[in-house]
Amino acid sequence: MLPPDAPVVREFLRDSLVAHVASRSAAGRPFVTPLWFTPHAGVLWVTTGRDTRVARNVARQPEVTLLLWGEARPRPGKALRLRARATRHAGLPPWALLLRIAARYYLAPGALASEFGNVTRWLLRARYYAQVGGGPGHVRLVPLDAEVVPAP
Amino acid sequence: VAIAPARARFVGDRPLVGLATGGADLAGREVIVLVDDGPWWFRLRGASFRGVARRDSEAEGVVWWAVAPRRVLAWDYGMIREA
Repeated sequence: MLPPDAPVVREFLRDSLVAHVASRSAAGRPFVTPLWFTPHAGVLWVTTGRDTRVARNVARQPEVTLLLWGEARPRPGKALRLRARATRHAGLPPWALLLRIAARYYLAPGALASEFGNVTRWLLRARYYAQVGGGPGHVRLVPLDAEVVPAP
Repeated sequence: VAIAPARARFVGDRPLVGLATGGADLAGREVIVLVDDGPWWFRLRGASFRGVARRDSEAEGVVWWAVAPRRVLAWDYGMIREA
């Protein structure tokens, strides 16, 4: 197992924009969902509704496993499996984090093109988020250890 | 909870997942197969299939597991529209 600060772990965190997050319900049933995440100060920040399935799961069962594909890595064919301890929080992350999230997912070159190509749908998106059960929330993931695994 | 990268293919609307030979034994276990695309908001799309796996075949170092879906979720944020 690799420590969370191993160079290859940092590379995967830098080169991945979506994490597949596997969690477990209170009854022990598995659940997996793709989520945006933003690394900052040793924590992976994920915005999600406070009552979404993943948020409810981690409130009961904080141990989760993530799969990072490193989609921007020059040599694909491997993935990073990362264990983390999650906590659920009400409300949005602090402003400094929101700015990082915006830079990572809305203002990056590819993102900007996609955003401007869908200007007419921004209001719909805002209404979609307003419907999220339990209101805004976020999940903080503290990496525990990781391993590089082959992607068949 | 375990998660592993896998190959996926479909026979009709039934997913099969491929794990390297010697990988996890999924026989009779509840699994979720997730396929997705992105990463930008309006390009986020995917589907997940929850079901029980059974061994289907093995070829070229890959064991294929058939999943009989009991629940399917699908999304395509680029298709967002008024209800």
